Amino acid sequence: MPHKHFDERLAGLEQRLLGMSHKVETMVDESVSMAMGKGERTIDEIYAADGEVDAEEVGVEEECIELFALHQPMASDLRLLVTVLKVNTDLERIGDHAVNIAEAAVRLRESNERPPRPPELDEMSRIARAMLRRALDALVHRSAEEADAVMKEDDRVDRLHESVFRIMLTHMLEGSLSACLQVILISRNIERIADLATNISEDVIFMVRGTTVRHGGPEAAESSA
Amino acid sequence: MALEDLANPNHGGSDVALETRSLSVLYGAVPAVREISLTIPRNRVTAFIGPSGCGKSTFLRCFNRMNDLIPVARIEGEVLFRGTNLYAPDVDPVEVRRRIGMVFQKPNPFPKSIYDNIAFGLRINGFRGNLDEQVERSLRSAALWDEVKDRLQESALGLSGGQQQRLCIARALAVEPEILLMDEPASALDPIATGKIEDLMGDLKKDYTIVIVTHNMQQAARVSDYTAFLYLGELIEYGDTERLFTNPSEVRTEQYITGRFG
Repeated sequence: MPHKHFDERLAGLEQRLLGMSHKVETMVDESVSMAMGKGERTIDEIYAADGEVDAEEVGVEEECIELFALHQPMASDLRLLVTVLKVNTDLERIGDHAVNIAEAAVRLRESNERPPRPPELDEMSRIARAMLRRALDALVHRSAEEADAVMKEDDRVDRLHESVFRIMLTHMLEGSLSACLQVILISRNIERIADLATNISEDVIFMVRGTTVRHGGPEAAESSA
Repeated sequence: MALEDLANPNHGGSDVALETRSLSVLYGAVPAVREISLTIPRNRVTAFIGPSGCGKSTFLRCFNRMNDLIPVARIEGEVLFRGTNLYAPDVDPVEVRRRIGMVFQKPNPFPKSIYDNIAFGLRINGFRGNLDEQVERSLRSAALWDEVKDRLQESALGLSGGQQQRLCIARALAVEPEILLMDEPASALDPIATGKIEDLMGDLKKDYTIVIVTHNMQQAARVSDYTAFLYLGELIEYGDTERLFTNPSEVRTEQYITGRFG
């Protein structure tokens, strides 16, 4: 088997994924800045970055399929390729959520209404972005411990999202319906980014330890079957 | 005593088809298999993998005393089948080979008709039932009947390689063994014939215990329930196939199955 060739392609694929993850992280940072009324990026720039991420997702997937077909990887190679394939999809979706956030920010900017931006929104966006960064670090460093730590943060983001939702619901009753809805959408998309960072962490744990921790792991899955 | 003991279905653990205890094989002074102890589960496919010369075929051949035919081979330890050590002095190796059949890398049909290839083993074993029915049953079990039923009297040598290999499986099944040993059964076959043999293994394990030696790791991963990795005559790792190929415990197994050995 031509393993040198396979190893080189695997390393190249990982680099491609890391390049994509850097791009997605930047998109999230910029769209969240837009949502907070800051940032210098335009929605067209976010769309352009998303287009690049979409194209890269297809490329990474094709490369994975080719490596599966040509090399039939086993053990740690198999787990790495499966992880790349899944993280690839997660990153593309995070890019979509960044677009959703940026679009909601634009609608908010163009609206006459000025709904409150609760501090919870700021905090959850900070945590979600840190989760994404740390999940990708865990992937680079093959660190299941780091991935474990990321997963523990998800509940906090969920609770903050619920808080934002309740706060905005109160303001919606006072009349600024559409603008409040945009803030809820921003919160919802940030919460989904945290979910996807959690998914990436779960995949890293699978890659490193070979164990499935999704949905509480295989034992939980069996007991609910 | 041996024959009765071997035939007693209640003898030995019901989930274990074979067990080796500190089994070693030496070719002269050179050890080819080193003190391997493992159990082969009943009605499952167990695969032996490992690099060339690791002892996997030698180990497989211990299960039906085929190494007896190699003058310099010496066996130490035990192979237990239904609680009886197959190497006990009073065990008849011919009876062992009837109960534990074998299929080899290269199809080796007799230069006889398709029918006689199957009937041969039955006749020499003094079969008293309906020979035609048993031939048909064996060919059906080996998924070959539909392809040969209209030419049973033609020479087996006229069959394709894949058909010849299924004929050899049918021939092994005709004498109603409990265990089928397969030493690289598909390595000389094209992918279509290989697929048929692999499908057949999945069907046969309902009624037989199958032990296969293969160089093709994807094949081991596809067909087997349990896999043993051997290296330099030692058993390095043995366990559930899915786990062994996705998350092996031993570094040497990981290196071998990812092709980074040595």
